[in-house]
Amino acid sequence: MSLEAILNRIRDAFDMLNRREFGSTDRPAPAPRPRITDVPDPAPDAPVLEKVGFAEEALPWMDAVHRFSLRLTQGDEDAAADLVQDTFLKAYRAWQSFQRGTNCKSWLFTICKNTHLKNTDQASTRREVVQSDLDANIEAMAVVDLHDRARHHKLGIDLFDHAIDDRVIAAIDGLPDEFRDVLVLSDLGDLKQAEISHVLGIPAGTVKSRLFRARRRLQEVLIDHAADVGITTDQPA
Amino acid sequence: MKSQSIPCELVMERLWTFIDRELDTASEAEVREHLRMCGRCYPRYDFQQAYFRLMRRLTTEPAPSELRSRVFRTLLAETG
Repeated sequence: MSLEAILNRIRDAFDMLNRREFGSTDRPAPAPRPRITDVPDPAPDAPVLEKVGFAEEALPWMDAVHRFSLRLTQGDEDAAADLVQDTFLKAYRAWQSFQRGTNCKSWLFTICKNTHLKNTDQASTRREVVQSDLDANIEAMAVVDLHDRARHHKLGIDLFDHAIDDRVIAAIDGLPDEFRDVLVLSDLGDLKQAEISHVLGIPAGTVKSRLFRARRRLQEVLIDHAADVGITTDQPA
Repeated sequence: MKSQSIPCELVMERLWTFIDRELDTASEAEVREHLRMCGRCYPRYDFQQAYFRLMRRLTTEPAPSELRSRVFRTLLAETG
């Protein structure tokens, strides 16, 4: 058999197979399906962050981080906004180092505080307040002195209930850094003392004594201010 | 009852730690019981409660919506 005859046989065999499997080659080609062009663009508010869990665990703390930033920057809105952005950007980049199940707010506050220290170059020049490390138990007795002070001015507990927010914020901002940071993290940030110790890198005992001194000082300012503006009550504290 | 026997001074010394929920369970019960019974210490506790109400009031302020958008845009840009 010549080579040409062999090739013809092979071609015939392929033709037969094609007719069996795919039907007649005379069959009209199916009409092309229209291209899919009707999927809308994603809504602008629907983008998804790449790192799993960040949106659910970290972003809900933005209010708290913002409040903390405002106090760190002593009310400077622009500086606080920059600090919040830097904090979340760093947190996002380091998200794999966050241990899921631990306190994300505390972790964010740590980043925020460190970023602020770096921004303001306070890390190397940070002053220690020696008196802040007094015995916390002695400081705790301030609750008696504060109550007596309010009673002396004939002030009731409504001095706190009626305090003007801006006045209180100003009093907090006026605290020494060491006291303000601890007070803000505790009383506004709702962190435990051990968490604050971690955020600020100071011993837990120091956190406690600074916190109690900060509360004492803040309440003294608020009591004295209330006395100055003449708030009195029929029901002294 | 032993839990009623702790003196006022000790309760006052522990008051902020009590409010902060940083006491151990037994000590917390002692302070709680004392406050329930002591007409001298309770008003001081009440006074401090008012302070913490004030602090809570200051923690309701949300971050500006513009800042939220800005942070989110920054993170999305980081995602690429």
